[in-house]
Amino acid sequence: MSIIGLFFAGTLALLFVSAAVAPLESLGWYAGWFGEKEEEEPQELLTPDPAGEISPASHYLVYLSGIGAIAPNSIPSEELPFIAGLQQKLPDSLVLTDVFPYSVTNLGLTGQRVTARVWRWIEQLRLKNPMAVAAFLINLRNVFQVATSADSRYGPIYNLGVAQEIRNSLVRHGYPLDNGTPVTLLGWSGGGQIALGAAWYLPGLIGGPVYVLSLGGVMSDDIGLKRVERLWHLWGEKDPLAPLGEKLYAGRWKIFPTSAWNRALVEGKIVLIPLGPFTHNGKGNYFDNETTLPSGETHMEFVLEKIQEALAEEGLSPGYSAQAV
Amino acid sequence: MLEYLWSVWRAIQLGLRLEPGVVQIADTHPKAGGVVLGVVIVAGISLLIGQSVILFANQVRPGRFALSLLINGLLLAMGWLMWSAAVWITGDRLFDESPRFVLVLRLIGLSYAPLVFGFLILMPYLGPFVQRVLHTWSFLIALKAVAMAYHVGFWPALACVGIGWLMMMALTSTVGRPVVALRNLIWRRLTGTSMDLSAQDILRQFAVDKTSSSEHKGGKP
Repeated sequence: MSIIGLFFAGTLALLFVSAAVAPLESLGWYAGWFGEKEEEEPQELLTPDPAGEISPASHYLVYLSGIGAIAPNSIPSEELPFIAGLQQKLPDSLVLTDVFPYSVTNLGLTGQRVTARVWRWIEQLRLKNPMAVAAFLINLRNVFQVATSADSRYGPIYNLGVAQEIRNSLVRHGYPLDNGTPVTLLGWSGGGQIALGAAWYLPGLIGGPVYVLSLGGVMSDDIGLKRVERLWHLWGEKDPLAPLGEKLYAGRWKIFPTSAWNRALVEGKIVLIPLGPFTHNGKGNYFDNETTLPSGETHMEFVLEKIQEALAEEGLSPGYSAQAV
Repeated sequence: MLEYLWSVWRAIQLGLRLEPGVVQIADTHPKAGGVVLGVVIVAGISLLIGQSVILFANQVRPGRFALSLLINGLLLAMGWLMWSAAVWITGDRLFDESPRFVLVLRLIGLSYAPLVFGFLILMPYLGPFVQRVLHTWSFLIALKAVAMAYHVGFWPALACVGIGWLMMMALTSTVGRPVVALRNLIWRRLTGTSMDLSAQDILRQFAVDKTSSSEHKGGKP
């Protein structure tokens, strides 16, 4: 075998092995093999706002970043203006961004992991050059976690961990448990699937209704659909990734009318919102604040408007004034 | 030890292709039996790694997890013995040629070679597909092994393997039931769990619980 052949065979083997070990983190966590230490810390934070300093919001929106995220506090920079825009558009809502959807323990890749140094090095490379090949490893690692969430063998475990982390975040920010306060999970790209998966557990964990907003989300026919009040799926016509879910997951095919997805469609639970010629990445993507539409709005402004509109129709976003978190 | 592991690896490679020359090696090589046993045990360990979600869902501890892998290898070896015996008895009745049982045993053992990649069943999304591919591949090698051992074509080999399989099913659901029960008992004792919790049960269990008291912290709830 030539050197090039060996290289490709080796890369393929490495890819397969990486995919195979991807579910082990969540499985090991559930079995109690690891992850308990990281769990202990948020425990004290579970006391809902002991000093009574945080006044509860009428609606909470939890932002779950795409597969480029590396840690709860390290969201790709292009998403930051969008998140700030969300906070401005939704004055009665509290926008939370401290959940890392690609770990059941909310531990970022650069946290206390054996591989933390490697991920920190990759993060530095990405800061210098967002298109660096090594940065692709972050996406690949997180893609495997999205697939883990969507897999019926592992999803029940993975999504339980993320749902608990979402609840912990809500409580940290003054969410009143069992009060019926609505929560919307906004999942961008792979975050869409994670949001849907977590939605199965979340209503029971928080005692409130859960809505899901998918922005270019790649989603399966997750059983979580049965427990969401509504799923809004916003997608761009030039986005090649958002339609992947309906191609890859048989439960989204029309020939299976009793699947969770198709039932939710019939019940009117799923609202499909085409945005126009939006792409997934690069110029013209959902976060692009330079490319304008014929109306004069930038892509980002248009997406924010659509989100605000959808939530307002559901009675989740009555006002417009700004609020900082 | 290293020499043995190398031989097992070579046997896996031979098994994956099962070319005609393998029959002579399996028949005459002095250490062939031990090497093929190694292939089957490695396949059993790898298969259970691929299907280990059941062990994790039942919160099996690391030590017992490792033991479970080894036990699964041995259980697969027992199955291999029974499967080979069923094929050999059937082949003896169906065909003129009557190879030694040891040869059929070794060749059928080599058909487990694809299952060495059973750990890939772990892969999210692709895992169940990989599982089907590996089992089909293994079955096709078993067919080829029977065809080579008895010098027959595809259809007679298929009939032999099919009847052998039916015979094994009939035995395990009748006179073999106490053996199966004993196997299950040993399995439960060694793993320390009755293995009755599936990932789907977790969906139901945690979907109804509320408040922090029900939070799963990893390990036994």
